[in-house]
Amino acid sequence: MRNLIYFIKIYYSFFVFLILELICLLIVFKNNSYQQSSYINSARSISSSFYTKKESIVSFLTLNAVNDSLVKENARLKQALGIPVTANPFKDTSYTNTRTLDSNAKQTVHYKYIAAKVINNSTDQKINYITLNVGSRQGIKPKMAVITDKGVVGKISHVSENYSVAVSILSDRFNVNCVVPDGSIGNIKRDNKDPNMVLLKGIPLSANLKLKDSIMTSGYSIFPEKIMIGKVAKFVNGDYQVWLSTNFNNLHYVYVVQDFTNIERTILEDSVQAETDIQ
Amino acid sequence: MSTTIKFILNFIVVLTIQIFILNDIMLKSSLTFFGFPVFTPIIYPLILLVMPVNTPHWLLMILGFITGLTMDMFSNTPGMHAAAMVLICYLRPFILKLFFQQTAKELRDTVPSLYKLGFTSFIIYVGFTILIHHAFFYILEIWSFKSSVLIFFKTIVSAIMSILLILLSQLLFAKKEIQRA
Repeated sequence: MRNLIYFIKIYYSFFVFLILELICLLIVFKNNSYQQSSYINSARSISSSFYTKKESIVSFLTLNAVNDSLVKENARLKQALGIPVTANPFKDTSYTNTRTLDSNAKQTVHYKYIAAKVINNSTDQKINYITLNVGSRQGIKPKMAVITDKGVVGKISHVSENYSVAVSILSDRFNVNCVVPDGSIGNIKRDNKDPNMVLLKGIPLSANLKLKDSIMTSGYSIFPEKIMIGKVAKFVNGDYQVWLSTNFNNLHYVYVVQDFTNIERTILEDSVQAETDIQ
Repeated sequence: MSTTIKFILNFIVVLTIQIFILNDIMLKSSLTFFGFPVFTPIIYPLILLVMPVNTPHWLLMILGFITGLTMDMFSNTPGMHAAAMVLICYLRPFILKLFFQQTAKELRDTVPSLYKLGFTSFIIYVGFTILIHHAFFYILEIWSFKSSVLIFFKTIVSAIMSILLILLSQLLFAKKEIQRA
């Protein structure tokens, strides 16, 4: 017994090292999957309040560019929809869009867009997260799609009361279903080297894609139909490199899409998923 | 200035710079011409590297653990920064032994800064620890054999940038002391 205590006394630093390292690795491997709720992420109130302060300073410096893009988008939307201008456009930042698909009005597409400010963003990690300043109080739930006026951004993964964290499409294991101009369906995957590019896979040669063909979302995934992803930039042995239309290094305002059409569909698909999991 | 106050000041200033400025710098578009991956310089290990030599080993590791967890909280990497920090805090006394062959009693509260160690020794000391930190961190983060080339490049490129920034900060802020012959 005395020998044991003596042994621990000599090598105590090694034991402290082992204990601390084990705690770290436990945290790492417990939070490996980004669907699991993790204790240490930037949706926590301490770190997000710091990020909010920082964003309030940084956003002041980019007001010009943001204003420009908002004015352009406003003009485009007014032209497209003929919406009457409300007295104060900043008072109500969410709006709904209902569109009838068939003449019997049985199928309607019903989306609600919630405007959100990006308070933290990264593009260089294995899984890149974007912190938004909206949370469960504003009706945000996990698995909602996040888009900008220019294109797709990602999907919500963690939600707290006032903040939420989204996984951007520049992440490993993030698949987006897309459609090319001739109607073929493909998959978008991350290109590890460049944050402005993604890889387009699974398109048959018969689709005859050309440079600068635009790639849109097919409504199969969480994203609404016909949201811009990007344009074909290069052919790389069978796959295509796509130039993203969203600039992830300059992301300030995004929309979170609440999909009322898909509630029934998600419940059905989840039940199928649960059944296959059991088998 | 006592060591505690110095540590707390270092902690706040360096982590602020790391989280709010360096984490946002994507040194990518200008450096992607060889297909180099995107990276950010990581300088926050400096907080623990300039602790006095006679800091207790266990205290050093616990402080490293706390620093790493704080960093993790802000960059969505649960536990990874903390694991890398604990590793280099454990290895630090052994690396320092290479440069200070005197007894611990004589050293007392010497801070291993640029002027104390001399230019070459300081670069080797910082380079060694930073390389270990980055390699361990990127292995944990990417975690696949398939992208070992990516891990290698990310480690090397980030480490070079981090070491340059640490040298710069030392040149600006380290206490200059005339060495007695």
